[in-house]
Amino acid sequence: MDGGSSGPPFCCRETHMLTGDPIFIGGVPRSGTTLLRVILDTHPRIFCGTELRAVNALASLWTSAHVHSGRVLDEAYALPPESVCAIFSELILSFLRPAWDASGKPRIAEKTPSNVLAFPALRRLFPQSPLVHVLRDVRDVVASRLERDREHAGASFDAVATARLRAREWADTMAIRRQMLSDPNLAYAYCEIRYEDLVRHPERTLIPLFEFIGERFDPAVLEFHRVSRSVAGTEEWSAQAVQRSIFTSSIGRWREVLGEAELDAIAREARDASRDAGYSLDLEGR
Amino acid sequence: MSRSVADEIGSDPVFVCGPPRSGVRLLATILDGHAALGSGPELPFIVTMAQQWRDLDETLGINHERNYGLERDASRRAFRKAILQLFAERLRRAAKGTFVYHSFAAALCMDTLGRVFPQAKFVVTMRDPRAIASSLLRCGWRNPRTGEPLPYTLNVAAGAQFVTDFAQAAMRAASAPVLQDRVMVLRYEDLCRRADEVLAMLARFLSIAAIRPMVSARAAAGIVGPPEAAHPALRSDTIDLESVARWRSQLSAADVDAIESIAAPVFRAFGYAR
Repeated sequence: MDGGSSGPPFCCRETHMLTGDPIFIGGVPRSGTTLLRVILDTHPRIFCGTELRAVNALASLWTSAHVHSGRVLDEAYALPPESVCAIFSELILSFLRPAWDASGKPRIAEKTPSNVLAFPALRRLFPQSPLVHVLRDVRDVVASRLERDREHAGASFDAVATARLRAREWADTMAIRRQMLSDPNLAYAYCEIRYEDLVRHPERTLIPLFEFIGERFDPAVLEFHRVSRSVAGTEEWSAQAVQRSIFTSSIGRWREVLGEAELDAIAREARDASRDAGYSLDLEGR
Repeated sequence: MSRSVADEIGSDPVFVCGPPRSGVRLLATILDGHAALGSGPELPFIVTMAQQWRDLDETLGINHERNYGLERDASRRAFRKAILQLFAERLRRAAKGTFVYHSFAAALCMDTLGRVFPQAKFVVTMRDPRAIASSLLRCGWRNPRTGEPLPYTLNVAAGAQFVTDFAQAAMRAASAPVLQDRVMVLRYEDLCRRADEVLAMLARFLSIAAIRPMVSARAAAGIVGPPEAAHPALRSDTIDLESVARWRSQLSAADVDAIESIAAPVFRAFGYAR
């Protein structure tokens, strides 16, 4: 299967009806997080605006407080861990609340790729929040990012070194994935969907996802490209791509972009993590 | 978030900051003895929180305002509220109204802290660079990650350079327009030798009743924690005068010359005789 999964189109440990805390979406950049964002935002009960890009930083503050000063806060400041969590979760909510209130929708989702790095902390800060990890074949991720990187780089652009860097970043998010899946306290309400499944089988992938987040699937969400969003995507790389209906032509685009040297660099950085995630880096069909 | 909810959480803190070994903890312990003020063990991440607010505001504030309807000042108020909530229960239990936050690092970002807390006042402690360098040599501080001694504790020249760089950075931060009339510099030697007079000035600066020149060993234990609470300056109920000139018996003439040369800007800026 080219860049696809060998497992089910949707993966989560358990299905929960979760309706209170925010939904957080993360994944390495260029993995399809913006596509999922506009799909969710088209749902009549969910608001999912453009990237806030602050959740990881805010959650990291909690991590620092918890790891380095948790005992002092508990013993000297009479703040047990749950009280500290409440303070920092409220800080994050204060960033989300104005737009959430203005949307008039009962649910909010926040999509920023780097959210995935904060998933372990978010699990503690928002115990009921669905955490949705969007996965994609590392080769297509790197190919897409290389095209962007090349645009911003000068004549000295080093494609192999950049491919290695981007593959390492992808592998880092897979390390978070392993952490989430291996700890029952973290795996609770964590789920992952694959870009390849989302674009090939949208309904089959989205129906269980919506069930997981406690909402009814509405086929209208697939008409996301017909919805007028005055500010949608203005700062997102994939703004153009979500102006049209779902397409599958981006699957396997790495064949047009990556050379042998880049593929070797990717394999060195991400072969094991790819295998763990159900992606094969075999070069068959190249 | 409405302004009333964010702003009713409590009054802005008093920040006590300055170079290491300059009397930051001594002063925080003295202030903790005041009926209106309460302090506590250092929480280093508070400074990081303020810096994070500044970074988010500078890099994403416009986007947040446009796309999330988050007014620029609303994020500041949210951070202010979160930080004050961390102090609130300790203050409530002590029946105190204002928190005294003590931290070396706060001296370097007073301008940012002053923006997060528009009513906060800052007390910058300073001490004779010869005394600081001598004290740093004997403090035994190590990098918690590597276990290696901190570079500025290895010799007096490194210590003097550290004090100089620190003091200059602190005064740059203190010169920010947002801090006008909100910063008081307090020399350790004056606090020890003329405690009544200096603390009266400090009380006027903070708009509070008189501050007693007393160090409570119990307060020190609760604010500084071991092993520093056993420091002679914090051990007795009175301010320790001996620590002012101890460097004279600890440093060689060559050490003194080196410190006076390297830290000359600090001697000039803070009125220390060479």
